Amino acid sequence: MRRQFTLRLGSAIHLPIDLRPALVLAALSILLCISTLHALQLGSTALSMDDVIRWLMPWQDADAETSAIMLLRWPRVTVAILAGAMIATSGYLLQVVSRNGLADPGLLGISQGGMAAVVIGAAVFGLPPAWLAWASLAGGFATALIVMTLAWRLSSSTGLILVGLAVGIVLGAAIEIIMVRGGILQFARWLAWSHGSLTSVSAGNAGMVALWAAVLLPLSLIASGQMMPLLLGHEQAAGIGASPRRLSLLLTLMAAALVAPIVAAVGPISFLGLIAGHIARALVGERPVAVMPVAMLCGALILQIADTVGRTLFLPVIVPAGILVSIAGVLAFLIAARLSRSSR
Amino acid sequence: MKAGPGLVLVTMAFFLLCGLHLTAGARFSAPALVFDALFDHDPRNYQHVVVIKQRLTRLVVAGYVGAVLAVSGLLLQKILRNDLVSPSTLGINSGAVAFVIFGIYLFGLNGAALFWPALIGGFAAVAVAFLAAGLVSRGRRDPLSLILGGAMTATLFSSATTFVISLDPDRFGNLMGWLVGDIGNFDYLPLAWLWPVGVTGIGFALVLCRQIDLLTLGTEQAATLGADPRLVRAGTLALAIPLAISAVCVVGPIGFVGLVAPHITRLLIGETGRPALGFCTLCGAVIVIAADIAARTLLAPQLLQVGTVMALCGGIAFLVIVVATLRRRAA
Repeated sequence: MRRQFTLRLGSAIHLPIDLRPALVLAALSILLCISTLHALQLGSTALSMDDVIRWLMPWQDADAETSAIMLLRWPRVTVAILAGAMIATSGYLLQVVSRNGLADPGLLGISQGGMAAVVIGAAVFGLPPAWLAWASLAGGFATALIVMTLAWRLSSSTGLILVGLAVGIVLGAAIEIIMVRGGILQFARWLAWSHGSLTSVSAGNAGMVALWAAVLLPLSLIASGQMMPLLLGHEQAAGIGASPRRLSLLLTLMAAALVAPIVAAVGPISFLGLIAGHIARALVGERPVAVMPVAMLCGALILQIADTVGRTLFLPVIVPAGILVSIAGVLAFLIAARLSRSSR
Repeated sequence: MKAGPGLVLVTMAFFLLCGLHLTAGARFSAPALVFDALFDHDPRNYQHVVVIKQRLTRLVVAGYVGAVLAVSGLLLQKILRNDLVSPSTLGINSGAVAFVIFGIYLFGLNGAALFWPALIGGFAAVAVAFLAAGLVSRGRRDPLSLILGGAMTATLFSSATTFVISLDPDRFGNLMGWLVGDIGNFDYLPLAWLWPVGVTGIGFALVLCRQIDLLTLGTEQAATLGADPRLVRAGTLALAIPLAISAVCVVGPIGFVGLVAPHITRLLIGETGRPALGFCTLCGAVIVIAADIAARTLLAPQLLQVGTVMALCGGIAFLVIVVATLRRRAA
């Protein structure tokens, strides 16, 4: 039973609001605020909370030391939040399009497609950094189309994932050919990047990611209103007047676009979309309008916490956030695969 | 195709590729020169030294690795009755690599001692893969979920490997080639003491061939025909894993030989009987030798890694096999 309450603005505008998603959203936002404050505060030099809050207030000037540290820390925190939200959104879009609870940009090879395009673009054609996100978009979308076409009509939820993994392996080998040419230091950096690492994020990256996020996140929230018919399956969706094919294509493009800037800046973070989508659905049910924002906040929260834990808990060692997410993600994947309905 | 002609064919391919391997390279050596180097060796002739010290050693390593991985894959596919399993798709390779890296980092092991952590890693990976597959499939036996479990195991172990390497990249500087699976110029040194593992393994596989074949009929039928399924399965696993590990210890994780070679065998002469085992052994050797030739000549004078070439071709093969399996089930 869903409890609703209606927001009445004047006599004409009545907004029905579901209580449960609203409460979940509020709780997650508060958690995200708290974890962001901690992420800004903690690090190899811990600051006091007062300093952080004073730095955040635009009308008070912070001391020089805090500003200097924050200059290094805020891009990382921003990118962690935005990347988390975008990957979670992308994962959820793919889960709806493929009607498969296990879909995730990392598992379907979309991130690897983006990576391959970035690596080939940068190393072979010498693209400037500004173009890398677009290269990544092209590579990711092409891969998504290939994987989805190959797995078309194969009514098996594990089949899509295996096709995605196989495509990912081929692309990974192609990337490896190029990346092995440097020394071990570059190879180690590549290994960290191939699992996703926020270590080398700069203010420029943060700006680029923020720009893509500003366009794509609202767009996906709008799109979530149209996604309900897709959950019924293609025939039924077409039966009630939606055009599932065009919508699916559009949403896949959007899913590829959402991970493109992240792959260029941070590297692929596998499993995040899977975990966030599952948590969101466990929290608020199946309605895309409710699941989408909750998944975004979950993704942001998870990546944020993974990054903060990775760079503070094991000091002086810094664990890339992607590795923590992968390890947590493998376990989450197995649980999710067990829980998800096998008939899909 | 009958077994006899098949064996003759693969043997011919094997010798042809061996010859090609010795002549091809950054610089082409005439067959006469190779012949001289082999039978009338002159240690002061630089080209003779290249043929023997760089190409022959590589050839032996490639042949050994291919043969051993192919047999390991065939054994695994037979006892699990699942034609998608192989040392790499079950995560055995990644498990071995992860444990070797732990061994180096935590205990400073090197050389021969690394075989043991690799072996433990291989068994651990198989255990984890089965556990994961059990979680995914909820007790139903589904061949695809075992592969999914294996893929998850591989992700888990490769994350751990990456983490340990990122702690101290300099220390693993000379291991880069090994990590992606490459045949180096000095890889024949570990082979010098690892070859008994491969030879005993393949020998036992030939001896036990009949029992293992019975198991491909299914557990009940095998039991009726007088094989103890549990014992045979455990024994074969205890053969297949060390075989794969001995290859990983020499050249690092080279994937998909163990997947592709048994498939070719099955297509051409069927999977049961000793001739099939022999065919598969030679077929694996042929595949890796061909990959090594490709790695050395495609971008010559630059070298590619055999592991990378194999992952590229094998990944495509894996994709085709997965799609074919799915199509067959959907139909």
